[in-house]
Amino acid sequence: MAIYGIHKLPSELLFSIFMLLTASDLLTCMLVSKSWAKHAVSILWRKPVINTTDALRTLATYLSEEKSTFLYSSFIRSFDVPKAIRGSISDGDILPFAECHYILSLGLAGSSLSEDAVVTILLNNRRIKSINISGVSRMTDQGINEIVSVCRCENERDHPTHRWSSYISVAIMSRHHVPRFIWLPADYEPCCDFNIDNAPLP
Amino acid sequence: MASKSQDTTVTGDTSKPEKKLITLTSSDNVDIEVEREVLQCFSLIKDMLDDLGDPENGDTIPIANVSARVLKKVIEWCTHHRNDPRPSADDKVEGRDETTGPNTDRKKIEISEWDQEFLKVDEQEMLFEILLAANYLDIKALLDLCCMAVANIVKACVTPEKIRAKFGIENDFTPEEEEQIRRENEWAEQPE
Repeated sequence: MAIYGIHKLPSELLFSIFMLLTASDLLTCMLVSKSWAKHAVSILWRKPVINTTDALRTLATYLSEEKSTFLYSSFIRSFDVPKAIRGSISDGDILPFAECHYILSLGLAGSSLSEDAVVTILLNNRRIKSINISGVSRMTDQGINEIVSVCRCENERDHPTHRWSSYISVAIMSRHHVPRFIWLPADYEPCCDFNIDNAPLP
Repeated sequence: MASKSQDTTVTGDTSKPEKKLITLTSSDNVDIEVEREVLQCFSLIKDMLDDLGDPENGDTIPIANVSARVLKKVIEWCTHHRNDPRPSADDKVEGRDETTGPNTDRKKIEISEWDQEFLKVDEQEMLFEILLAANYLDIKALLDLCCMAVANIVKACVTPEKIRAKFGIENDFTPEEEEQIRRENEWAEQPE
């Protein structure tokens, strides 16, 4: 039996329904009609979940594709490199994320990326609130400091009057090779002999 | 003005005289009596009663956007769930924020047996009318239930064609547009 009247729902209710669906359900929804595609796309791409390097590469293609149906890069708010592919991705796989401008949370733990790639992505995503670079094998202390200073400047600009309320979380590997999650206050001064073990805890 | 038809109380049970009844008037001008306690579910009305006090003798509360048959269903649900723990204002709203992605749980969403029976409505538009009424009257638990029910119907359809047939939606894509969207989003097709 058909159920009529779904078109009467305001957008926010269709969003509430779509939020309950999985990524593959949402892909099906995107193919129903133009209106459903418009509603499903922002949820599907908000925090893309991928399991394979191939899936990541396919997704990345459409972040910079000019003739795509939607401006997919504008939807991404959060992205985590999944454990299964951490070892097999390179700078080239992750650099397309520099096309995004609204990433708030980025998880790169355990991947073998260069600090240049990470900084390039950060420079285009000025609202970043959380970045996990724990155990990124090619990351130097200087690289960490650069990342921290990029994040710090942006938060000062966004919240000039609330410096202490604008924390960025940066997870890095401590010298004991234990990942630690630290919060850096906006006026944290990076320095070359940056000592993670003395950094303030959340 | 159209004459009002008096309707019986939906909540029944008049044996306990201390239960205070409030009269609601539906959009199609039917008066429905409801126990005041049941109205606690209706955040919209509850806030109004808290601010303005109960209506004076003979006054009714107009519910402009909800017809009598939908309002009766909503009252039936609230009466059954009247003793459910109410979420306090401090409770976090599902911990959702801008970075929350799609649901990662593939299972069908659990709905209690009573609620499933309640939502087995014959009239074709009823489910969405209850959903809209729950939204308007600000009954969060009923709104969540209706959203879960619709989500489960979508999940059960599996293909875009079946979803269109189920909800009477017209396919306004050209075959090329549909193919392009499929290609651009195929990364989301994950093995089970």
